[in-house]
Amino acid sequence: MMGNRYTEPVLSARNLSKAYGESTVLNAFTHDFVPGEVVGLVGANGAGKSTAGRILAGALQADSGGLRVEGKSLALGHRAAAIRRGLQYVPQELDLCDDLTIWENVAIADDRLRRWGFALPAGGARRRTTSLLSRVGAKGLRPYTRVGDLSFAERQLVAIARALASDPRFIVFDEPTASLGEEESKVVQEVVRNLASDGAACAFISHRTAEVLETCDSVIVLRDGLTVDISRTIELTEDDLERSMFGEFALVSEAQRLSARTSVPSLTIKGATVKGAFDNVNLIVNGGEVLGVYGLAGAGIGSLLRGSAGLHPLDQGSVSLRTPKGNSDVTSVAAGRRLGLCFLSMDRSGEGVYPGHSTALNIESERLTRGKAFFSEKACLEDAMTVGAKSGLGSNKALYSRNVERLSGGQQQKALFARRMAGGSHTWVMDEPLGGIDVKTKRDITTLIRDRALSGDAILISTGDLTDLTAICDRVIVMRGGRTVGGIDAVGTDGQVSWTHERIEQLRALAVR
Amino acid sequence: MNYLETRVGQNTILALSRRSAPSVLLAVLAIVIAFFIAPRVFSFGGINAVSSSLAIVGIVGIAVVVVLGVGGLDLSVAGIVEMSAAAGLVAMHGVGGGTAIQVAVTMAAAGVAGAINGFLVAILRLSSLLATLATSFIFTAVGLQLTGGSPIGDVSSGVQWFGDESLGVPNALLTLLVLVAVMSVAASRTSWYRRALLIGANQRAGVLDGARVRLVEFSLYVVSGLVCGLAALVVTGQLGAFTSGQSGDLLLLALGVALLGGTKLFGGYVSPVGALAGAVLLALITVVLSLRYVEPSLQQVVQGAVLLVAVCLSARDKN
Repeated sequence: MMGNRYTEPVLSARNLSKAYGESTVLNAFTHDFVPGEVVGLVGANGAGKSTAGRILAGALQADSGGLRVEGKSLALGHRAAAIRRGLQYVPQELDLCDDLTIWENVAIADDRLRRWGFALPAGGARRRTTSLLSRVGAKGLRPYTRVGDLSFAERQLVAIARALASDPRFIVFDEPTASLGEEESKVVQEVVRNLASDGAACAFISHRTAEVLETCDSVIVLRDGLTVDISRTIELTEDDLERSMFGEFALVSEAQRLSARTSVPSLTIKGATVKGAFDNVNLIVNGGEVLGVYGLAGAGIGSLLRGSAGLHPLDQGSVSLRTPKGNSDVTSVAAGRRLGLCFLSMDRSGEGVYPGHSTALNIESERLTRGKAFFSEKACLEDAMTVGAKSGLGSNKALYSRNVERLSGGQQQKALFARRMAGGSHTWVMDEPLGGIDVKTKRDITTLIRDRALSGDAILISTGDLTDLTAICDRVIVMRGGRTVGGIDAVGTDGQVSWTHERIEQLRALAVR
Repeated sequence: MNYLETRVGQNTILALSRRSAPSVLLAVLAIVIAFFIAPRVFSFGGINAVSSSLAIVGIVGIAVVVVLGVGGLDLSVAGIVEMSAAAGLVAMHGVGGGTAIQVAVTMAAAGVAGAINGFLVAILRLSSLLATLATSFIFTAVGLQLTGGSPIGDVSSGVQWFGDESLGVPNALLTLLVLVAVMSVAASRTSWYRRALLIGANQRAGVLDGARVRLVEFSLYVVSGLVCGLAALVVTGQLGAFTSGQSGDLLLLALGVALLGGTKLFGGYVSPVGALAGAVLLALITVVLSLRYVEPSLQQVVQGAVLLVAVCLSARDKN
């Protein structure tokens, strides 16, 4: 069996190309996917990974090129036909129905249930769901649970289980770990490996290089839609991979990092409590300082950040902001905005961009609609571009007049930064600003945040990844079970800024203990 | 024609977008066709006939457009027109006042009705569809109660102005044109309505931008109510009398006009000019077909077909 495992491809892709308007997002993509192999699709944001993945799974129609499933050609862009031929796709933004139970979600997708136009009896569908769940290692999940009540990681597993309902021989996983923590990511990676060893061919899209090297047998690197490299992962290091994804770029040196920390408290959180989320939290963010909050899921960090931005009322305690006229309490988001406090949500599409509107309007939205004047200021592309350039969006006019939904996640994040800058912010609360963006954009955003701090802004920030957090922060506070349990300063006793390995481990230990 | 010109740009008042252009083009096309098959439309009486049905549908259409900006659907617009028209006339006759009383009471009644809708939808967070469906019954019934079902004549002299014309143009039509211009400026230039459109596009993002969502939404319902009050004045002025229960088709026509013009059903984009074009189109069809002696039931088939064509051209949300 093992002998011919690598001979017959399940899926052959030849010269697949796709363009939106003038921009080519995928250019002559060619590859054979063989059973038992996990192929990584990597690249920067906007490199064409998702486009490639969706075309390969028949979920998106290519402009040209061909797909052959086990030697027979497949009509492009017919998802239902593709599923019948054994191709599947697990999207990044999970398309599960929150209000339905797990088994109902699986049943919707299960082609067998619809063969004669009748659904399988509920009992049969539930048994099948149970067996699919155990295939993805989620034995603990009950088919009766409502999907909306699951954690993000569990939802990811349900999405994979649902994809398995059609017995696929080729599965595309589109950034399945993007929103997951390290432990949870490992579970998903394990599931992908297991499916491959059961004989499926897998495409694994990710921009976490370490994870790609662990999970994949080979890796295809895309840059601006072009395949720039195909290698076996055994031959690669993380550095190699990053270099081929992004080309050469300068690393931000931690030692040279400037700090503009002052000892003037900008944002003061006193005895803040929201029952069931966090309890008696006291924090002070000084001007020019980036203060990180770290903790495991359930530590109450998301709620704390939303509470400090005025997004939901505190049961006890207060959040106050230093203003030229003395301290003012933040009682609502609107009040905070008037005082120059802003919040950046981790949910960019749900709480960030205005879909259907141009990037320029998305940047200018706040500035144009705030203020007491009845008539808003005139908007012009140049104003948006000036701010956009400061936040790293560049000066391509077409980008600014494009519908913001067409932008990559990283570009959207930069546009949202630009919006807050244009709207006048000097105290920032950021919930996972580095989530779901590639390494290069991450560095851009890191630099952006450091620049804000250098110009005197106070910043309160969270990220799930300690390495990311320490790359940005002057100080990190650790939370566990809704309480602050300690903190560590970047400046050591020697007066040098350095996040040593030892200190990072200390933070991790604080969060877990 | 790109997003920027129509949404942020300098010259938004007359600029057409992909969504509103089809209705304007169809309206122009309808005018050309009318010129050939029923030139009498462009006679004095013809223009009067077109504009009398056009003005009222157009004004109420704008009232619908106002709340569609935040994705709200107001089904009580016709009810507000009925109630406020009745209230204005009954109050005027009751106290023996003149124009001032009629206008003040009509607008006040309409504003209060809008505020009730606004309270239900923006403050109590009820679904706009359900809340305004309920209030539409109430408003209509109150109107009927006020008049007792019999026609009320003796419209005040000032309000009769809406039935007159200036320089050959019916005043009702002028009123609509001014309203469309005001609404277009509001939509593109005021902080207030820009904010409303952004809330319509993504309410949660609006909250983070510091928008007072409830206040903005509430204000839209009040303004929409006031526009209905204006429509009530126009309709009483045009007819010189008012009878309750006569506005059967008004709601559906106004909704049709608003959506025909390319205004988005779920918020984030409005086109007052498109609504105007939609109203012209529907009114022209009615009058031209009447002049050609086409039965009213068949006229509605044509109106429905045109609505479908316009929606296919403009409102299919490509993804």
